[in-house]
Amino acid sequence: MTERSTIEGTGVEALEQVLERFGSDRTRWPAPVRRDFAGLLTSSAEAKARLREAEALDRLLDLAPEPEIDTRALADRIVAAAAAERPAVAPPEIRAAGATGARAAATRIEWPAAALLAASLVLGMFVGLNGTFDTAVAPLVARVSADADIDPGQIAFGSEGLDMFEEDLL
Amino acid sequence: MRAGPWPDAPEDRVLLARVARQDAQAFRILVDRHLGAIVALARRMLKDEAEADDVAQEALLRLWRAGETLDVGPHGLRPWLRRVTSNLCLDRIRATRRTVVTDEVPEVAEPPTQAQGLEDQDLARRVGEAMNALPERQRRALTLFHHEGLSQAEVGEVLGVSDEAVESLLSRARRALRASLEKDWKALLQSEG
Repeated sequence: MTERSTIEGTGVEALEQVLERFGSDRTRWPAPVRRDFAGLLTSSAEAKARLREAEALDRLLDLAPEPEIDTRALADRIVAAAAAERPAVAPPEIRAAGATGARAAATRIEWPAAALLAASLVLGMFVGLNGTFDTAVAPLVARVSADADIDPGQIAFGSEGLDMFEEDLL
Repeated sequence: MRAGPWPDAPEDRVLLARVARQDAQAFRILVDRHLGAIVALARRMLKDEAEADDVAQEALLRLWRAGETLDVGPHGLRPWLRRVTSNLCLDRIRATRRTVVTDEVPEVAEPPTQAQGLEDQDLARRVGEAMNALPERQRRALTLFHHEGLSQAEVGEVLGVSDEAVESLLSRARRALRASLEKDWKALLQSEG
């Protein structure tokens, strides 16, 4: 509990200082002090007597009346504040409704995405099977190759890209 | 320090289970049962009634918000609330670097609930008077350390003094009480044989 102290010595006089400062409850003494006086409290009748006296004084102190405070208005305020707060734990029916709502919201978000994905898949298959782009690209490649004596691979990769491609092959 | 399980701990646990299910009635019972103690602690630490009330409210609302996740530990709800309250107070003290304490919270004696019988009530009254006769800082140091269970370092933070100064305040307070209550603690020792 307590962090340190300035007690010097380990005799009965030093013990009296400890008892005055920290009381009779040895769990409240700093650990080194507890250790230093453990032997004395076991072996010395005088030390034991001082400890019993301190215990009696502490029991008297426990009888000290607490100050009277009228807390009725404050209690009303606290209970009202608690009632105004959102419950910490939602009742089961609210939790269940919340979960259903969350699922419904997720469903609402997922449907358009799934529809778009399916549509793009169908479109891709349709274009691929029809050869729409084959007919558009092939004449273009042929014309450019004829005009400029360009390797058709350069149309796709550019000159630098082709160099890199060739280096990789080497 | 009033250590160990709080006497109402078993009842508190039943009420806590209801509070976890957002039972406002159970929460009200716990508020009525523990609010006085934590307000007293907060006022001792902060010396500002409005701020102390806010801290007590926050501590109890944490209990309400925790729901089923709350674990108050083996000693029950009262020590848990005291710890939450003292931590909240220390946070405020650190934030404002409050070091100077000048005013005094009026302390009015209440009928003791722990003492049994007229003789014990009389004894409690004498102890209260002896405590009130201490210089304010000695009384605060002793109350925070002994009754509220704060560490020496925490008491130093609250009072804005060093560890050594806390030790000195505690020593002088206990020495004075040992002298002023000598008849009583000796009688207590004799009665125990």
